[in-house]
Amino acid sequence: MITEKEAIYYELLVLRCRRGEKNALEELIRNWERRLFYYVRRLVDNEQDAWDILQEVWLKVIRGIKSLREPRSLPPWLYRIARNTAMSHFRTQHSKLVLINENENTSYIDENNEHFHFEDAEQVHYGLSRISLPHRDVLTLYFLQDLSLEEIAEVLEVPMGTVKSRLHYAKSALRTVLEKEGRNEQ
Amino acid sequence: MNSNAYQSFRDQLLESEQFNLSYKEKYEKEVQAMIERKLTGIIKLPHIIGLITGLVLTIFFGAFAIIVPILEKGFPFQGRFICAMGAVFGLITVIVEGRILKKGTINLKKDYLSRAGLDLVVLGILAILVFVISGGLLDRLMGVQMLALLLFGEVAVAVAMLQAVIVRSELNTREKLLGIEYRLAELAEQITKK
Repeated sequence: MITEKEAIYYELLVLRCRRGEKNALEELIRNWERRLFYYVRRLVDNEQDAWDILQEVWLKVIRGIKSLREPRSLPPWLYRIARNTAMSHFRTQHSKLVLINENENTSYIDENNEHFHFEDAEQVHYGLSRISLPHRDVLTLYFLQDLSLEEIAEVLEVPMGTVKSRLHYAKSALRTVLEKEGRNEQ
Repeated sequence: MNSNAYQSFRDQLLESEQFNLSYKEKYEKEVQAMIERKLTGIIKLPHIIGLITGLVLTIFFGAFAIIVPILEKGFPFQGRFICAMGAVFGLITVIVEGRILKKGTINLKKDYLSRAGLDLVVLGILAILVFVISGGLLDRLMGVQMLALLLFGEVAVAVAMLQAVIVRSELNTREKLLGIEYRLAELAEQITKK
């Protein structure tokens, strides 16, 4: 979720990129590199592949930034490119994701009833590697805090209700993993 | 968790990510090359051809503008002028292409605009050349046809250049407006914090 100031900044940055300013492209990459790498790394097993995918993402961004209709929607656009690039890189994983989507329970979950907070980033980082890919996918986008639920739905190409239910199950899965880990440590 | 807490949580999460430095260095080099549009291999070829053409034009027209009037006393002034223009054009081409090849990168904003300007100049020279020659042609109709064709080309390039200039100025205005909007948003944020 971005503030008005950030939205203007993104629009300005996109405009400068469209004018072919090298500095603007460098700024865009510098600002988003870590977040996109984190996201892509959660989707693929191999680090080398993640860097290759990220490189491909920037190539697509450089080529496509001129056709970005709504510059303020830069964050979901970047995550969508990252996700699609990762998915086309690993088509088998993609089919696995689709399969899980089809069998998913999309009943509405009231998030306000969830009295559970994740505060230890390192534990969450560890836990993310232990949960299923679709759960990891949605939860990473959620924790990176750049997108609203609506935008996450847009990136994942699923309805908003699915995002809410998937987030609920993903949080439960992560909590279970972390609790199990905590018990093992004791 | 409030927004700031989330912000720091996200930063902590990002810091938890470990990566191999050699992979990252390789990636950074490749991304940098991508941004700079380095001239490598086949991409260099049109610029090399441009440079050679420019050199040939400079020598050919330059020699024509200097030597021919000495050898032939009745050589018309217009002909000499056109040859001199051709030599100047060739020289500009050599400078533009030489600069691009020396840098090894293309500046999308400046280099392509100067090349478009060169295209406009070359068409202009050709139009003048045909205009002069057509006066002495036996087949006047053919001369007029050639001239019309060149003028059409000249207008097309000029329109394309004009469009590019309009788009650039529109972007400049939008950029300035956004700059003001950004500063206002910054001020509003500071006031809210106080």
